[in-house]
Amino acid sequence: MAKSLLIVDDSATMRKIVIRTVRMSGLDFDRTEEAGNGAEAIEKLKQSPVDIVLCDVNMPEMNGIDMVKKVRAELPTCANTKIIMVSTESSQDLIDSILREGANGYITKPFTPERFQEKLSPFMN
Amino acid sequence: MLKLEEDIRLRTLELSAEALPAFCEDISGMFGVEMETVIQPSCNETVSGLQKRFKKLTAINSVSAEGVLNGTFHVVFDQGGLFTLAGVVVMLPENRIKEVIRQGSKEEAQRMSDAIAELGNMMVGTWDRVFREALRKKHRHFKQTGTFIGKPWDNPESVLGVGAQEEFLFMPATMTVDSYPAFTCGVIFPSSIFETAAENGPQQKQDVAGDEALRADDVVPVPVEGDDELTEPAALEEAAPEPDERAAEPGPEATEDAAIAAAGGEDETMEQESAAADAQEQAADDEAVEENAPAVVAETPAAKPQQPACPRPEPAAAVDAAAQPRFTHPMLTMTAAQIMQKEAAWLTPADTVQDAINKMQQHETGYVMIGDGGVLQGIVSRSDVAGAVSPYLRPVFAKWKRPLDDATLQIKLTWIMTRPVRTITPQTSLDVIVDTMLHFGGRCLPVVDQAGAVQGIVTAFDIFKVLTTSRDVSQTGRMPQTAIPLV
Repeated sequence: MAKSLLIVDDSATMRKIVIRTVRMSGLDFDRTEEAGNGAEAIEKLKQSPVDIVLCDVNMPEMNGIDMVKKVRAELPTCANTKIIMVSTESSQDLIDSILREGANGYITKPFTPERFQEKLSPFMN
Repeated sequence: MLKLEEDIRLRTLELSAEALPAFCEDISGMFGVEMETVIQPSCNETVSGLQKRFKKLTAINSVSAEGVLNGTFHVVFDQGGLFTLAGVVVMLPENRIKEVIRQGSKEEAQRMSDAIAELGNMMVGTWDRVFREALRKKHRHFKQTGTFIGKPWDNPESVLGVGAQEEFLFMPATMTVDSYPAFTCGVIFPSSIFETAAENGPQQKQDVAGDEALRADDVVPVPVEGDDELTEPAALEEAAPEPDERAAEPGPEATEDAAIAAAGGEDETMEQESAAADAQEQAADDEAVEENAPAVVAETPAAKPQQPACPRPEPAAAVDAAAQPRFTHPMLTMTAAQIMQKEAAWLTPADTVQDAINKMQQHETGYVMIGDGGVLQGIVSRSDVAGAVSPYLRPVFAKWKRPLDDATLQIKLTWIMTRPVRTITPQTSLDVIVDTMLHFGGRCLPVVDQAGAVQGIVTAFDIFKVLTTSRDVSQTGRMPQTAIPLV
């Protein structure tokens, strides 16, 4: 069954890179949306929940960690939404804290199609 | 320099030398390109030296460091790197990338600023990973703090956080992406980034000393040009590890990769266009000097490449003093034709450093002419070769040698040769030759006829020979021009 994807990153270039890398990974999404920060992502999720969110950590207005907290606390319609954080920061403490807040996975930049395949495949069925 | 500070400095260079290839590997995997790098010897550099290396537009990514390093360092790309990498990131077609490299407008660079910033961000990710894996919790984090596109030498304090005359540690490198022209990049470490770390007191010292990854005994000396402390065998003995203690070595393929990267880009057309542009700029740079140059000294119309080592600015007095010949020894009326060596050793730009070493040893000379079909394109001297090859290839350092050290022998001569080449005619008098050598610093001048064909060379040793055969000076033995084996 085809899935929906939301890419959250304040860089339009990075959003395009993520989209391309997801395509290269062979994963099939029937709907892909974009948001420039956590607040914008929350608004999109309220209107239409998605299956998977790929979200940057450092963003203006609302960062990725705050977005995860808000989704888990205030958006029951997104209870099944899988949130994968994508960031350059590779500190284990940071990753652990993000996972504790309710994220489902973490991908460090730079990433490869294989990495996306590995992290997203479990959520595709 | 404090030992702790020196340890941090050396370890930083070593990890940086791992981070740059790792970044290339990451970008290769992410964008499906072949990206490679060759690290050159690190050195102390100044803003004016940076300007000579990068000349035109640069992209500078500033990185805030916390942990063993404390402060901000910068990764700089030249104009070619800026447009090549940004073009790859935004997936521009190959022709378009080559076009923007050629045009190199600041407006185009600004349009790509988001891509350049993201590239910097990804680079920070790679560096963070490499430092974290090596230093574990002693490394806290790197964070991208800004991206600058322009000419940092116009306002170095603001862009780089260093004064106009202040020295900083610089790690230069060349990179290639697919068939695009090779470009230059480098890492700028202001001194304060090491001082701050070392000044963090006993706790920091304990942290560093207690970390296997950063113990003084584990520090592998990275060649730093101009740092006498590091080139002393005794210092190396103290700092370098036993072979089995060294960090994981790159496999044999790394040597091959580095050699391929060292070979540079394949696109001859682009290279020539870039060379022509550089030649124009070099000509403008040299304009003031040319006014004072003896009329018989000519330059071949080739471009001057980025130097692999840190060039130090020549004292202004040297130029002023050479305004006109001021020697009166009677022997100085002799001409180049009378004193030149008629046999010159030749290689092509595509030949390697190893070929140059062999040629110098075979011909017992310190200079090799570089060209194709008798057309002179550059000169390679023993010091050029010595600056290009890894010092670990010397027998005394053999036990610390890594595969990448061997790869330096495969660097193509086109990357290290000196150009443009100053030439003289067979009629040039000895006083002008001496003056030219003093003025421009070279110790070998090719002698060319009116058609531009090389008839021979005149070296400083040839001049010494002439002077020592005068009636006032006795001569015993042969003047030592034989090249001492480099490796």
